[in-house]
Amino acid sequence: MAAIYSLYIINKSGGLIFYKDCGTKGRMDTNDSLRVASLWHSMHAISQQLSPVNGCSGIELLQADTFDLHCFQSLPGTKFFVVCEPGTPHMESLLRYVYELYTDYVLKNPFYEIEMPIRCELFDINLTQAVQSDRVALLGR
Amino acid sequence: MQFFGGSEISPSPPVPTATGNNAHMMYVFNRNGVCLLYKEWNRPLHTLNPQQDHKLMFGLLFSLKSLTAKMDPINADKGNLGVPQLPGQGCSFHSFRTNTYKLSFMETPSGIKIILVTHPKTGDLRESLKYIYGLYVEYVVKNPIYSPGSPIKSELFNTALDQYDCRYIRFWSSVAIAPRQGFIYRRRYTLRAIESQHCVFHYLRGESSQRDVSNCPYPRMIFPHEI
Repeated sequence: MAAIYSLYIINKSGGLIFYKDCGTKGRMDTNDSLRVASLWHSMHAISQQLSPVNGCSGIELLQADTFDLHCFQSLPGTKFFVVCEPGTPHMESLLRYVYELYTDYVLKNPFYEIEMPIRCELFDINLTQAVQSDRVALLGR
Repeated sequence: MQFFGGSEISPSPPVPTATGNNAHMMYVFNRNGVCLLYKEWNRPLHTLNPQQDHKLMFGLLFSLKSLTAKMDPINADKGNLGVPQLPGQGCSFHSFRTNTYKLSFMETPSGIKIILVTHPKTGDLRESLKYIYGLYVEYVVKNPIYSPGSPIKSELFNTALDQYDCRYIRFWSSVAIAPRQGFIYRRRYTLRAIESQHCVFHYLRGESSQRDVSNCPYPRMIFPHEI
């Protein structure tokens, strides 16, 4: 079973609103995760400026020696990115599923303030299920 | 990281993993951020002027390396974010992809960074980058006139790069060249075979027989003498 190391959600301005790490590898303390998220937000924006062709929407996949980073940017500008083992399949569909969970359990939550850190229990529960489950359901999407 | 694989001086160029590759641009930087070479084959959009573009590219790569070294899940001991990493220290990325381009990156132990910007569907270009580094060593480093840290003006290096791309990457090219007479032409052309370069060479030399011109799909194409 391929491993997901961590999941980050960044708001429109580049601030980290959600961070979850799965397992002991890749654990980062709070300050570092905040810095990494802001750095990613800027890199995402700069990569659009360096495009040779019109219509670039930023980095979707970053491949490094020991991990892959998949990023999904929603239309309002919220970014979801996941750090996983190299070659893990179906990360894009997982990110889209996380976006669905976000709209259902976070945005529709009347007590949630937009752009603030996410503290919604149902979102956490469903996310854990999605990440740890067999993902057979996701393969069929 | 296993960098020096074989013991061949000039390995044969690797066959590309995907057909129909389109190379957009290529950059070569040294460890101080000086852009030694910038080659452009197909770039419809220029957002910034060249100096800013080079600086931005170098800055992006520097920051991305810092990010990947920090995010590395395997290494326990990671430096702080923003601390400059030595070449080869810490986890480094080898490519990233957006919806419009794919950037492949390689850093050598001496700090030379080679970047290729291609079509997003391109496969893994690490072997191609190693081959280009081999060309750099052969034609640039071993050139006694070349001083390290200055922009590369080697004709042989540029020709070898064009030939490598000619054979394996089909592309549109916009090249500014200075033939022996001292004019500068700028042409757009599709290079389909090395033969077209040879017929143009004859054409420029004055042997513009009917046979040569008719062989040439673009009779006013010009051979790159100096770039």
